[in-house]
Amino acid sequence: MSVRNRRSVLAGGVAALAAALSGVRVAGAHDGEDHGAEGAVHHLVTIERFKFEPAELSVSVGDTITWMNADIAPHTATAKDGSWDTGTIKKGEAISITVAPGMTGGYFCRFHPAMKAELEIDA
Amino acid sequence: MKKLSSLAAAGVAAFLLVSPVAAQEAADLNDLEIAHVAYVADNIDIRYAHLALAISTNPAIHEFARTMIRDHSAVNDQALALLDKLGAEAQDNFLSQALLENADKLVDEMAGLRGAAFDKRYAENELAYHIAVNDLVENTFIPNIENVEVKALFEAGLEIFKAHQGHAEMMVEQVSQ
Ligand SMILES: [Cu+2]
Repeated sequence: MSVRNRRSVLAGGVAALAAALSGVRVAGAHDGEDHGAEGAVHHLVTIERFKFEPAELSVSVGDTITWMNADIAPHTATAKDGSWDTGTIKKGEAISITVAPGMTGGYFCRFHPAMKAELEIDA
Repeated sequence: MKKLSSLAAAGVAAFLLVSPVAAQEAADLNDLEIAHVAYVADNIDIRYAHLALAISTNPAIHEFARTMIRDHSAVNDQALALLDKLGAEAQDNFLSQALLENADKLVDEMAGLRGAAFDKRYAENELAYHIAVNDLVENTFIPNIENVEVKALFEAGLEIFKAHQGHAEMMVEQVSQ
């Protein structure tokens, strides 16, 4: 697997997490992107109340996506085709993956299969 | 949902919780008694899940059971941490005891089943159980909880158990085919 995982445990919850991640150039959830020095973009997906937000995300190969879990229940972000998987993301944790070719398509939470979202890789 | 009446009848807990007397008495519980009921209810579902892991050979049932253990344990950890922070201890009460008594009977009954019969019974009980507990939490506990932090934890818990209810519905459909 060519993805790179980074796990950060933050006791202080979402605010602390957002503050900590600002050092690694994370975008706000609404504008959805922040351009780094080499054009790579860091995207943030919040998992809250059993939903991925944003549920649809356009990314490029080389970008980083961080999934941040604000729920008490552990979740995952897992490709429908099984090609990538964040592993368990506990409450207050975040896991980042660098976008590799082929990551486009649907993903879901392995623990709660009704939770679904979509990645689209821009050419 | 045409199955609801048979499911509710199947779930002894559901029967208990919809009886008007029990509902009134449940409304009189204090925060620490409510916390105890919730803790017991979480542990009961964890117990059912361990039974499912031991008996079922259906991978979807196993996945569901592991999610029940993972999520209900996470909620209980939060509840214990909060009680610790508040310097309080959960208080045993009639409803906790009634739930445990019913759970003992159900575990005995389900432990005698194998194969598809077990999977069906387990999935139906999970649905009935989550419906009953969610109704209790949403309509009786949350409106009566006084401590804001305890209330917030129950609101977050309800969100999780409603997701489980939806998941249990999927499981019931799957094992009924
Ligand atoms: Cu999940």
